[in-house]
Amino acid sequence: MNGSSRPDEVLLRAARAGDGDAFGEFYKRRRALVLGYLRPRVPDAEIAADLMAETFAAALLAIRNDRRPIPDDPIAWLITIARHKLIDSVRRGRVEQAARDRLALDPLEIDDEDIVRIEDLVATTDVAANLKELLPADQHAALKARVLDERDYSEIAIDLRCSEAVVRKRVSRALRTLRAGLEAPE
Amino acid sequence: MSGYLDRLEQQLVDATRAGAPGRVRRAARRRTVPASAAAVLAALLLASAVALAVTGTFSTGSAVRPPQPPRPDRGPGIAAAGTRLLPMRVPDPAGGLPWGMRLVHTSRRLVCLQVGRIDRSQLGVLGRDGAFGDDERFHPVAPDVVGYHASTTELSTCLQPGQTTSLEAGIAQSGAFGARHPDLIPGSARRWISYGLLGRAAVSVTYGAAGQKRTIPVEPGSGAYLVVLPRPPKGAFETGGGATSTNRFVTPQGVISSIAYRVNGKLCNESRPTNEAAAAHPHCPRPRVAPRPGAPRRLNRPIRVQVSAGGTAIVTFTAPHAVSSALSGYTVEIPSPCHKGISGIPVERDVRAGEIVHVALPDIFANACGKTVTARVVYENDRNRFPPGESELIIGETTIRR
Repeated sequence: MNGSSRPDEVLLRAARAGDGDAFGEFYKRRRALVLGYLRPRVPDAEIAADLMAETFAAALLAIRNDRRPIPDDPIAWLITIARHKLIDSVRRGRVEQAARDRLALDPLEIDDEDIVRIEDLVATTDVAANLKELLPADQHAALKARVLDERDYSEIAIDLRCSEAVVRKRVSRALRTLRAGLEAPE
Repeated sequence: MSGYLDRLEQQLVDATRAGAPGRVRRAARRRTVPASAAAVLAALLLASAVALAVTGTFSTGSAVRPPQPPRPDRGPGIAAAGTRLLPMRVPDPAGGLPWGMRLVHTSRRLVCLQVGRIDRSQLGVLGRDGAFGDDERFHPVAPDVVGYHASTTELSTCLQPGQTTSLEAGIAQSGAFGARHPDLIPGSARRWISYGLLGRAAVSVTYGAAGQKRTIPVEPGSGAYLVVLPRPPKGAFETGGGATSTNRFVTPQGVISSIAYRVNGKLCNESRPTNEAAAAHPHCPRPRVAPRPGAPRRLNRPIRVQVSAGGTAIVTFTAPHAVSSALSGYTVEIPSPCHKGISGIPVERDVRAGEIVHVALPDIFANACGKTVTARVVYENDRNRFPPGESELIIGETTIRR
């Protein structure tokens, strides 16, 4: 595990109060997850990295808005932001950067070494593979459908032939497992 | 030199510490997605679109903003602590995004209700039925898009703390009020919504739908409820109606046939009278409150008036009392004895004690009974006056001649 063992929610709450190290820790812990989600959906690592940067910038903006609650499930929340950024970027034909503009983040150059490092990171933290290894089959199916495919609980329940409550429980258990086990390897 | 991932981390750490966004603007950089990549992504997006259609999720469009930039000291104020999206989700008769409500507490101490469609824990309206150019996108509604003083405006109703209300409205399925006249919306795209805030004593509401009665619990604590129907009840006014109460019990109207309350540990029902003469319909025990009689107090302070050639009067007075919320305030009233009524323009902003206040009254002689009208400045310490009969304070009055 990187850094402290503070849960994501605690890090985000600290970031809201201006604790830069806390958000840095959250980023280091979850960037592999975001890259792992984005990379298979885009043609190259550079676009995935660009989208990941925009995802974390948007997450930071959301956290700094104290009218919004701290997300109960930061992993699902982060993946949702990444997915929105992906869709927005496709629609516009360019990588979205509104959040980075609002934060006045300078553009970052990406070189071949960075590309290799990102690809390595993605290869070792492939989200679906990780989930499958980390989770029991029923939890994996529920989490994949809910978090990665963003399907409704009712729809998943029909597919998995169980009640919505059971799906919710499986997703919840899966996320709890992930919080403990899916820390970004470096 | 550290790599991309580390430099991004440092940027995020610095931005977190910096707090206020947008300190230094950078030159815009556009990373263009190559055409081949765009094609791959478009295919992915199409797959997503299929999923979106199934789940009823829409892409997000521009946010709905208030018509004027909100200010903490004017009108309803701005959204403040306690504002929250209520957990209720009400299915639309045609499916798709559910309906929901947000309870907005404002800086001027009002409590406002917003009704709309819910997408990913956001309240908003759909770009349909003439709204947002029919762009088929979801447009989030900001909490500051609220109305004022128990009046139903676009998407919202505001109350004073302690007031309760039950309202109904015919609107488009998009959730956008007033985007198109109800007559111009096809029947299948119309919805009839009944919503309200019934207070902590409320337990449930019973309504009629498709010839059957249904009872749903209200939200514990606030007494909020929401019903969405495909069509209005028989005999309903075309655009809606409702009631607001200051004595905590609301008489059911429209589709709502009864409201259950818990009073002194016992359940009781407020039911809709079957006709106007049926005064003895079941109701909950009212608190005994004796009206406080008393004539209005008068300060007889000077009031100045300037009337323009167009008939607009500017009434000027010095405020003896400060106003720091929407719960108290000044109103310029124009009594019209021959019409047995009073028209008035409230001063909808905070006022300092001793401040000189100007109020514009357009077309001052519109309801005049003769060649003169009287302009009267009134101060209400509690605009939600209860018990009734409490005296008001007349700051001063003056006569205006044509």
